[in-house]
Amino acid sequence: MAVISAALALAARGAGEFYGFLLAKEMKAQAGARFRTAYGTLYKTLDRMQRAGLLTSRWEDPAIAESEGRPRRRLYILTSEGERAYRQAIQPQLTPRLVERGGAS
Amino acid sequence: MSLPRHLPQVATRLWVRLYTAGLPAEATTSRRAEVDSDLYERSVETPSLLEDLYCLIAGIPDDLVWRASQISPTLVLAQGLTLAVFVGAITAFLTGHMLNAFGFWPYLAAIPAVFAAGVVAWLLTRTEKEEVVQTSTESPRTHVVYQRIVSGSAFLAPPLALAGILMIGFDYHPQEDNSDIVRLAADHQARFAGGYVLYAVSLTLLAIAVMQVSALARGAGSHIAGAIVPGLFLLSTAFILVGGHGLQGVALALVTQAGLDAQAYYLEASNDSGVAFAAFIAGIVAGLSLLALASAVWRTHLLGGVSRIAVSSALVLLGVVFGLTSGWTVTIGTVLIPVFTAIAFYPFAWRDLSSRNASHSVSGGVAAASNA
Repeated sequence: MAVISAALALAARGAGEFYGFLLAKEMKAQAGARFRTAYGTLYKTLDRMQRAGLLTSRWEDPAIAESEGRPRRRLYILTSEGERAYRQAIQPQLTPRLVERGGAS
Repeated sequence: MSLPRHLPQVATRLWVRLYTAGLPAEATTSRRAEVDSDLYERSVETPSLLEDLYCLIAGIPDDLVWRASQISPTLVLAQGLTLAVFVGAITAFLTGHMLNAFGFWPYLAAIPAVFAAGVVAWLLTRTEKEEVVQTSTESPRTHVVYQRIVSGSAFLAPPLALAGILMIGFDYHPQEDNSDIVRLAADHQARFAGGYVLYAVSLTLLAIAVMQVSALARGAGSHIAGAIVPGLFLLSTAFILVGGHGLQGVALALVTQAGLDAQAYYLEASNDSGVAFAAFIAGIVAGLSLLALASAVWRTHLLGGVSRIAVSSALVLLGVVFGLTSGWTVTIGTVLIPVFTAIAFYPFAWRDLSSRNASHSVSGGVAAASNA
């Protein structure tokens, strides 16, 4: 959930494609954490999400990376399935409260 | 760039090369390039030595799980078992020498370490990492109850390890002459020290295994955990029984043999550990054979329609009750609990393995993990 939430926030700011480091920074900011997510945790999660169809990825054009004098980035995009899964996941967290409120009234 | 600042980056690159070694070229190249890019991005930001170290160390368990997901589950299981036996042997050797040099003090000193290891294991494997994005087809309420039961069990591991070590340390009296005990321990290093150290280590393994099972029970789509969990359970339960039966044998010997002295006491303990270790190996072999059988049963859907959690819970309970009450021989108890546990958790493993290369679908209710 944290990954998708961060990806959605980045997309809202115009970064439709994101790379690992950028995502880790956003997740850290959202969670108010002291450290960024560990390499292993982050890339394993991205790998799984990609296999599950929640993300797709492509490698950046080498010419762009070369012109900026840095290694190539792997760019990820949140799929519509990823967005739908996120909404499904947060739905159960909302439902009990709504039911509770409905029952109390 | 200063040396301390540079060190985590060098260590990270070395570690990435190590855990990607021998994998398919695509996976290796991709992971190395991705981490290289990340390291570069971090290097141009405000440096933080502590954060860089954290990012390396905290991700190691996930790196190993990722590596395991890139290769055959059978190979993973074989590698895991080999590693466990290898680590056990090394541990036995080293602690034997420690006993020789320092007597029982390393054991007593290990109490806080084992406790801390249990806590760390729990923290590293806590289920927030495996937060489920998608809902499972099985009842969420059942999952929650089951998850709480197995997660709660993990908390028992450190206190149990503490109790085990205290039981051993109880017979060591700092104010008295313990030279006989220390000498005997030194003469029977591998069996004597190995049996009890493995006992302590096993409880940490058990905590990890329980949390992994918890993640699977919640429907997290962790591919390789399904392959590792039965093996871990096999090892951990067998290890526990090595220690448990060893202590039981000691108690029995003390009650039934008149005039038993300290030498016989510890010889009995070390012999029992040796027998139980052999039984533990037999348990692994039997457990793996039955895993294969359970696989065949599961694939033919003979248990279709029956709740996996209900079947697994019943089998675990049956195995534990049967194993604990058999009491006829050390072997029966040592073999049966891992066997029943392995069978019980195979459904989770199979579900996991069968989804390895399948295309997951949201509408199909296949769970995926995403939360870091």
